[in-house]
Amino acid sequence: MPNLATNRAKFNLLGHRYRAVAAPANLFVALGTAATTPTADTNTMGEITEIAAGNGYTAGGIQLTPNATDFDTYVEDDTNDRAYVQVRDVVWTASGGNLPASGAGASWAFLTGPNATVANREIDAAFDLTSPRVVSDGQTLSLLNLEIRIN
Amino acid sequence: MAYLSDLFPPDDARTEADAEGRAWFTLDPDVVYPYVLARIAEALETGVAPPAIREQLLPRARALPELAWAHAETPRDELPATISPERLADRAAALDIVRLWALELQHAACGYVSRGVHIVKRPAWRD
Repeated sequence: MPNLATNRAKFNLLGHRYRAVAAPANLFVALGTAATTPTADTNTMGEITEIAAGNGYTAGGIQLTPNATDFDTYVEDDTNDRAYVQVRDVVWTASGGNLPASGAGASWAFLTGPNATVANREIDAAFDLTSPRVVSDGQTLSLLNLEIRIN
Repeated sequence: MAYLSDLFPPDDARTEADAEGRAWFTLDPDVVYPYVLARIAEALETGVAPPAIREQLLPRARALPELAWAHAETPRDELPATISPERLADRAAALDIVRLWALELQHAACGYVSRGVHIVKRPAWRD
């Protein structure tokens, strides 16, 4: 799905490589509404509107570990002079009612860094889900092959 | 082609050098992209595709104008000089779908293991 890597993500990548800044122990995939359209300048979850928690969705989203299991596809593209990494399939199951439990559906997914306060989590990448998604009790919301692209 | 995996030969040098022990494969656009473009044309006509592709990529493929696929098959340096930025963007979107489609096929061919893929330089397929 169409995606954008934030400038903060590029900044952090350089820090890990060239200034030995410790890589995060965990990352997260969170869902947001269409209330705010993210741009490359978007820095933290506090700048966007997360979907309502409940019915199978935990505030902050699903936790990932930065390893070969959760980021299972590495690509070096010499044709277009880019690199990509893809996330394993991420799935939420609605339980006890609709997911999101209230409010607008999920229009964006975000790959974020860790922070105890969700609003302070840095956004590495945003993925356009094309249209607001709401799933009913027992149904799944699946995001397959989320991809971070570095030009 | 006997097997789908034949499209994506192993890259032994990159596999040996990978610090995480990840297997690497080669994706040559000159070999793989024409094959994938034919699969996309079939899927657009029949609606039949592997589940992950049908759910994620086929709707994006359907949303593109037919001309985008003709331009995707045209080498970058043979495109008409008068092609508009909009048509170039459509071609880039089509080639992005081709790449993702190929990666999904490759992932299935290697049993969905964690792996690396090296797309070799083929300027004709540049977006």
